[in-house]
Amino acid sequence: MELTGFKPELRSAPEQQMPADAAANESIFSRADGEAELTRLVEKYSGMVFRVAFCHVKNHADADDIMQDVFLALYTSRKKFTDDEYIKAWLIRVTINKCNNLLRSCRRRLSVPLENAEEIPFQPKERITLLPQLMKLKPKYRIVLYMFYYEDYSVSRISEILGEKTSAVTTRLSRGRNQLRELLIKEGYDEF
Amino acid sequence: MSFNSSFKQEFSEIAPLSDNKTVCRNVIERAKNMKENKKPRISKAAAGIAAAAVVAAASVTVGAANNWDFNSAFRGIFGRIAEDQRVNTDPLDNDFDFMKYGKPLDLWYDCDNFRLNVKGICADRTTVYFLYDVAFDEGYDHGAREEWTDWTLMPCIDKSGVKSKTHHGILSQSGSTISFYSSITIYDEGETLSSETLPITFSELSRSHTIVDEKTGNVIEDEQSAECGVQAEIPLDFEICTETSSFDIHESIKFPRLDADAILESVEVTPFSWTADIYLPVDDDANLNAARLDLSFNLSDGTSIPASMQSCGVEWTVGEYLRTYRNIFANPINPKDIVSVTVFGKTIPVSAPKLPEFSFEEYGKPLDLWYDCDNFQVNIKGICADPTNVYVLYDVIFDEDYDYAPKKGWTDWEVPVVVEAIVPGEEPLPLGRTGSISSDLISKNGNVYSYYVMSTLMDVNDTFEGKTVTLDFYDLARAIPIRSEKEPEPYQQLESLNCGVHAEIPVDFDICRDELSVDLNESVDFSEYDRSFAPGTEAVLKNLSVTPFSFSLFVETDTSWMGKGDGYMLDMSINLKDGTSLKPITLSMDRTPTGLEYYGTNVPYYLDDIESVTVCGKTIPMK
Repeated sequence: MELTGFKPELRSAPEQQMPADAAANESIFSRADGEAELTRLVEKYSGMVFRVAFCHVKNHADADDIMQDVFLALYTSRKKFTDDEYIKAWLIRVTINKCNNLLRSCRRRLSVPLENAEEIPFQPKERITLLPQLMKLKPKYRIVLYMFYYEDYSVSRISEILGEKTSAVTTRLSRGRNQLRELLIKEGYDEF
Repeated sequence: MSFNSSFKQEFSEIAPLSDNKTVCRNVIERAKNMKENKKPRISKAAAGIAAAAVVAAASVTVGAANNWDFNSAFRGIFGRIAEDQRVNTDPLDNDFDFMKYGKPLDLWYDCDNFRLNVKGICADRTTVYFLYDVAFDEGYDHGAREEWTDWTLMPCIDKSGVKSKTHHGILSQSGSTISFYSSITIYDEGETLSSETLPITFSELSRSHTIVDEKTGNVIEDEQSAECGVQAEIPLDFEICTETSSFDIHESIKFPRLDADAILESVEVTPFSWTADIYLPVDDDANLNAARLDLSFNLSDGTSIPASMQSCGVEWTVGEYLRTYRNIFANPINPKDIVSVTVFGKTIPVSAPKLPEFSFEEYGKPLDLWYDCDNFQVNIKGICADPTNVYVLYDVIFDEDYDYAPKKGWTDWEVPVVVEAIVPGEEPLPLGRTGSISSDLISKNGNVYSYYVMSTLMDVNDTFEGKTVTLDFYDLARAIPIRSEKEPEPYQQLESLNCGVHAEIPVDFDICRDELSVDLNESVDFSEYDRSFAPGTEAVLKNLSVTPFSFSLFVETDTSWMGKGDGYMLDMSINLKDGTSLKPITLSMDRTPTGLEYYGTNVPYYLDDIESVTVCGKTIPMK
């Protein structure tokens, strides 16, 4: 009789796996054309990674640091990337993870609420000021709105990348849009 | 203008601060440093921390501009609670990082005659702590009045059916601003702070003045109040403290004012609060006021922290004589520092003892086996063994792009691993006491989770020596208990990851063969430790066999009355020459016609260091 200890239920029988072959999982870093490949990927995706990070942390400096961390993770990852679309999805997921880690860490205390932060400098007064209102939404709404409207991802693709159910993405999209609309109407933009 | 075009237009103008060349240069430089510093896989996490430190330093001016220090403010809360409770404030941990379990809020509410600013929050699973300021409007008469109470503004949890108790007070007052603090403790069994938001109501800011009418003798209360009526939804989107040390104690104690015998069953401690379960067989509710608990916690540095009963909501629940006492600490502590508790003058050790000196490499070997799975890798790092047990250390390294992070209310990742042995070239050999087993989490650092797994005991007539140990890793899983209105019984929602790693490790190293076998021949009284035994039941400790990792003990006793499948606890510890007393880590029992056979595992030690063994209160020297 076992008096102590944990007995989990056995699930399906495991399939045998062999130790990973290090050579098969070559990182970009260890490739001969690694630096060139990194440059190409940074050129192509740095803006996107920065925008995803900015959507989460609402802070240029933190978003910039996260962007570098993400490309470092990509550069040293032993993951096999089949194509650029896979890399793009991977970058978005890693960026969100790193943002979440940052928001959980002690660095959070050093951030300031958006209301107290400097004015976002990239919006002329005569134009619609969507971003400050967008930044008032919860991160989970911001990211799906960004991926849907800016990156032109479909709902099903967003659900794959974020690891969420399609219905959850649809709900967030709908709620985020409605909340954003309400915020914009409060600011006097009736056309939304 | 449509959403779509607005998004495109405005987002396209968000650009990184660093240009692409700088990004590439920094990334390449950091990658090279990582390689030179020989930080392979784990260095991902370490590099992340280092990067975070650099960024934090760069952001300090932003924090300074914010003009208040979260940590010192919350230290103020605990210091003030300590004063209220009139307890020693010495153990205040000035390095305690409240940001680990909280966050600044800066929520503003307009009320009649004042503005409320909820500034910060931190929480463990049952208690939430707030800092909030009240800034009176100009012209409002808020100044101190002689013989009037201080201003009070008490928050409470606005959730039906949840019992809670609030403690609150003033931290400081400056001009027209008063800084308040409060702690709200939830008392419902099983109810914890696990939802997305915490509904809090601040009802009324008030102060009062009591006078006695000299003629009539009537007490007249005068009150000045300002309506607040704030219903705040506080987001719990930070890591609530789940750090808990639980101690099963099961020691007899005596409540002197009740003249009643009781049993301190267990104590649970978080950095902020404690809970004690006590079996107190007193029927007369009138005596409950006399059932106050004199309890203090003793830390490894010699400090003793009285668990004050004066305020902060000590309560007990009455049911089957088991009472639960709770309170928050005057100052946050590290639960791992607790070495003993003192109850009504009786000191009871509770902490896991300091590990004896022991070299695992004498009886094992380091390994570095890597296995790729979807979303994570497994790295088996080392093994050691004696004839009846093997121990394996391994890491699970989650992929950077997988959302592995702890989720509020969910368990940690659990990894079931089945350990068996094979004679090379043959089928797996079931161990003596077979069963699927789990791994224990040792630590987590970013995406690297470190575990160990221990085999069940090999049959006494066999040994791991010369065998090959097989490890089958089943799916990683974590769970959250779900309650639904449709299903009255809670159930678990699982998130699982396919693993399926199979490893075979030959035991081709020198296993530990040391063994000490002693005939004890001592009678003990089990009835004091297990109520199933009738007083006076004869039980004789017979042969005790001890290895550095495990032990077995045969107890000769009448087993004819015992129920099939029932288990009977054994109170046992092994005492070392340096004064350390070690309780078994695991304990198993077999019933035979002539007695009970116990098997267990222990913290490793050298057999030469054993001085005695204590079984059911009787200490027997080991010769």
